[in-house]
Amino acid sequence: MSRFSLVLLFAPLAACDYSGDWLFANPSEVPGVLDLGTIVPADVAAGQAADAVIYGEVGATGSAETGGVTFAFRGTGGPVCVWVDPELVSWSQSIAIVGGSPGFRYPDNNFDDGDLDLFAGYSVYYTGSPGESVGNFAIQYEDSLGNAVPVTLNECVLASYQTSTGGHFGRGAPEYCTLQATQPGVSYTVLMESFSTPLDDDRLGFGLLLANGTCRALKDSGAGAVPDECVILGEANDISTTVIGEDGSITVGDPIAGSEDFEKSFCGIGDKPLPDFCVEEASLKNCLVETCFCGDPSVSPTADQ
Amino acid sequence: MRFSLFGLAALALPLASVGCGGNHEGFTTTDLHGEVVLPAEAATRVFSDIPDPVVDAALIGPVYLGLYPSVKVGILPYTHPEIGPVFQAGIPGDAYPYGGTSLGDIRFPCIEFLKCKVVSGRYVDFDKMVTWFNDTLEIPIVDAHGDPVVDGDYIAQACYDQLRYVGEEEIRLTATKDKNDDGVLDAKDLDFVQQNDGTWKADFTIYQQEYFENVETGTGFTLWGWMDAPSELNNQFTTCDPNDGYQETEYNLDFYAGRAQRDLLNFPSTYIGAGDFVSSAGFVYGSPDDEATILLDQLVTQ
Repeated sequence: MSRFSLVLLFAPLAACDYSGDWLFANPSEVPGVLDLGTIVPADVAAGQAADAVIYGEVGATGSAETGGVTFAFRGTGGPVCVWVDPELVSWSQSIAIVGGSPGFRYPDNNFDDGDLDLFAGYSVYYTGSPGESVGNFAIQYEDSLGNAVPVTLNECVLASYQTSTGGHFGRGAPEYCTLQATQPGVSYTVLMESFSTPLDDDRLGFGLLLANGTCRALKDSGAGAVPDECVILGEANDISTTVIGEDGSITVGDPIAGSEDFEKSFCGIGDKPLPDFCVEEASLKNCLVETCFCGDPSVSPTADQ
Repeated sequence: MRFSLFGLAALALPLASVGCGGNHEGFTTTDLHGEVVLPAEAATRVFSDIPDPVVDAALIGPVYLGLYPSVKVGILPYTHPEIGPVFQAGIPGDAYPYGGTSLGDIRFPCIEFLKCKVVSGRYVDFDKMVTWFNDTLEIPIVDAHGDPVVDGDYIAQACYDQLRYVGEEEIRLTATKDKNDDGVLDAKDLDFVQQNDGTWKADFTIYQQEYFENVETGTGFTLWGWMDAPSELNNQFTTCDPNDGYQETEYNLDFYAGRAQRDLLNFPSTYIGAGDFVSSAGFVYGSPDDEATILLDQLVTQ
């Protein structure tokens, strides 16, 4: 067969490869779409948020299909806080010669972080199939010209720098919202959509809090205000300790050794500041070949570059 | 016959397009052109200490145009676009516009005192702005120190200093283009120009608009709009959010410069009030090639 014939044969095939699946991670041992069932909002005493945290892990779907974690809860008649913290922490390295942010002068390991985006609303509006596929809270309204208008009924309102609604908090950062005045007995669904899974293993650990009351109250409970990142600690789990049940249930084991100290340093409540943590880690490990929480300081740009 | 690799690649490209039915996405996007007409009353005000009514383009507030499925009479005391479902008591339904534009933009006039009180395309120059506020409205302009501003150049210079601009055409508040090519910059180069019958007319363009119509009847969307009249008390516009927009923070200056509210076309009734003018009928498109004329002829009285 001539080269010309080959081109004619394959050109239409290439043109129709719109799925983009090849751009995405292979499916991991842990499913990319999970459902946690129904969860009862916890009463969290001051400073006791850690006792109510539910830890989990979600993988990649292995395709262009969106992945994520869902669960349901019954409205209580009062406010309910949903708080999720994806593995692990992330920051942009400060490289300014003058000024800058000295606390972030070392690089992060960008390969061990993921991102979960939070959505919530009445279960009756949720279009996904829990545990099978991820949906949204959009309904279709038809205007008088017969055009369908998607109306999003997501009640998890997150502000961003640009807008008062529709924001998300980015890689490794906790995301939370308060569902005000929930209807007693009415089922709500929460979706934690996997925006990204860690590049190093495509398995994203997370910590989840579902608590009665507002997120502000949760944040301010205990001794002093806790930085958002440290309301939940230890969400980066050691995947070798994760147990996958025959029924598909996921039971996570221990946090990665040292990850909680790393989070505390990031929050400024640890034994040592974040730069010191990174320096010490780099002195104990070769971060070019071993997994470190911080990036390798030796690859930081300098004034000469 | 021999084919070069380049030639083969060139041949493959159109074939690839054929493979998926071509690149046509089915969109109909076009620039919509037309004109807005305001009644003489929209630019006329009676002042107690001036014998005759004052007629001036400076009385014309920002005009907002939206494309909607239809407009309805009876929803509100004035004609209003149809609205979608109401999900929460006390919050009106979304009008779900397809697109729109404005005639006159709320821009930062570089002096905090003037924020949300000035719209582009209404003043020939900054001197006119100063005399309008100080002498006609008798709302004296003051600077950051509380000192009176009596010279238009002072405002322009404030813009140059704070925004690092180098010319009035960058400020984009006053007339800087000779739109009618008569060799002078005057009132005929503003957005709205008075006609012989006393009405005020402005051309508009809605760029790259996707066209929507009822596939059964062929009826297109409806252009509707309103003018936000300046407050008689302080010349502020209700469609301007004074707590948002560009933030000036330098030395003793720390304030937001104001910006148009974010949901003007989605929830017009939130911002329309007495003294504003709305379109009583709108303009129903029959095709994307229509040149629309829309008359904002209905005075809102409550």
